[in-house]
Amino acid sequence: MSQEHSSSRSSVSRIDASVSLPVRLFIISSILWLLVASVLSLIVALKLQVPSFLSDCAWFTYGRLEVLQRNAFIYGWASNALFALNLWIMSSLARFELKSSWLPVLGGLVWNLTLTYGLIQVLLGQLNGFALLEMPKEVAPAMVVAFLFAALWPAVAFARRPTGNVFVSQWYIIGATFVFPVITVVAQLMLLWCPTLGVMQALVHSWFYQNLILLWLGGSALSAIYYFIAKESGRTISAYYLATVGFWTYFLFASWTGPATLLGAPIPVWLQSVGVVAALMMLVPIVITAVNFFGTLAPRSGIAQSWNNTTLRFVLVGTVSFIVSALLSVVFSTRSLNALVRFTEFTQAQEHLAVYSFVSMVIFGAAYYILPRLTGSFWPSAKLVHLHFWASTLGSLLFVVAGLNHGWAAHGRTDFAVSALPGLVAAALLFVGHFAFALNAFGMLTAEEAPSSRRSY
Amino acid sequence: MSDSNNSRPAISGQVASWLGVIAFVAVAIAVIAYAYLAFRSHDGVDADRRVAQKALRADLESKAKGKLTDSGRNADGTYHIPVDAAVALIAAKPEILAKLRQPSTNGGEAPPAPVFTNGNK
Repeated sequence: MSQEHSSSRSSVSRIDASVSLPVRLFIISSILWLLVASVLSLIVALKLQVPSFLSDCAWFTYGRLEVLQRNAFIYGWASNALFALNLWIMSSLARFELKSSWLPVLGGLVWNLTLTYGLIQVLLGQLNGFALLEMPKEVAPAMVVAFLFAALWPAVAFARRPTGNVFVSQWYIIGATFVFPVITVVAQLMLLWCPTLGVMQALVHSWFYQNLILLWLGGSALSAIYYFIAKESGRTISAYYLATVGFWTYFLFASWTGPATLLGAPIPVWLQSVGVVAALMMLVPIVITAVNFFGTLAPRSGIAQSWNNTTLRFVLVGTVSFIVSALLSVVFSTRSLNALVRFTEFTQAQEHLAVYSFVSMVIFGAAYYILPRLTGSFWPSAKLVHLHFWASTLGSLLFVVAGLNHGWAAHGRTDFAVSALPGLVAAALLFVGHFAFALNAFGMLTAEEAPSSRRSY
Repeated sequence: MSDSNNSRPAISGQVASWLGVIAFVAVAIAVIAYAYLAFRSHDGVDADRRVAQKALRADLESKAKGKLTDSGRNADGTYHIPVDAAVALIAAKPEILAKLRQPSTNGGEAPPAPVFTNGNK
């Protein structure tokens, strides 16, 4: 028994070692991009409060910096981190030892260099008018190729798994992995290379945007939630048989919610109705995932126990944010309620809830689990972990409240400059949290490996 | 020379699987792109129709302008042409109507109407 256990641990260690190089590269890159995005977010929030700040130079105008921040966050931070997360989780679940680690490393390097070039072009004013497609169109082919090198390895691991068993996390990773290149190529083709005419552009863009946020980012984060809740709580997923339905309905309906973001736009009403119906049908996967997650954690004081576990604490915040964000999307996709908020910062708050409070918090939780296993070291400072958690959670909460406040300001209920203040405070809090996380992570990554402490976290 | 060296594949199993996944993604993208571009060729049909309509309007305009002869010119600068020709002229290029409404240069105010006289009478 002990021999078997020892052999299993040794195998896991070899798996970690085999993916260590690409995972480290992705995590280091993602943290650097997170710092860049945090600084930019702070400047953008400051410019909302003090419009004359850095306004003399065209490079630092609000329009460019806001685009820069969003792209650095999504493609730099979240995507790099999800490359690492998906590869690590899939390798662990599929018992996959990566032998050609130079290929994902090469992909990661090309991805980050291309992104840097694209963002410099944005800074110089070469940007398109579609959110998250702002970088010059010549950047996209290089990024797709880099993605194929960097992020398709989870699919390889899945294809070469030694057993036929499949865990729900693997479904979500596979789905998310295939979604990204397809939606990127199609959107680039239909919006920038051979553009469609008129209102079709708005439709294609809404489809791309929703798929990117919900399927690439959201799908990957959901896989991590399933993995870490089961792993860290030591419990089997509650109502696991429903997870299949949850997965298929999530991928089916999420990809159709694009038109629901265009209510009131000059597109055919039947298309808007399709979007609304798809958004309402998202209740099915939301309820199923909620049953899976909270049904697993809630019994026997599981949530209270999770609060004492760093990874689960972050994942729990991410899970709650996912449920709240998804429910808000359902509720405010109805025509009457959508009419109240469609042109306000409420939509920004919703997006922040999905991209930051949900996806990023899950990534943070995963990083707290994965990095010690890759480095064989402890996190240098528990205080920095706490600072990171509270600054990120409160900052994120404040950002959502600030978004609602902005929405009211847009309706002339409050002074705009006053309503921008919570956003500035939130950006400052997030910056502090991210800086603490980066300090801790780089402290760990640069520390000497202590063999005796290996696996004693 | 050992057998193990001879049997070693040129591409390792993992890389071969990776290339297979890439091929799968590439085929999916190619099919979607082909479908879009094939669908998009209908835009070309629309463009052809627009060009044909433009040519038809230009033809009607030139024919209608042909009706504005010196023999049909009134003393006040207006023309008397058949109603159907006037309608065709306006339909081809509505700006002509505005142009013909411009006041005469003889110092007095131009009469607001009629622009055309009924040439059938």
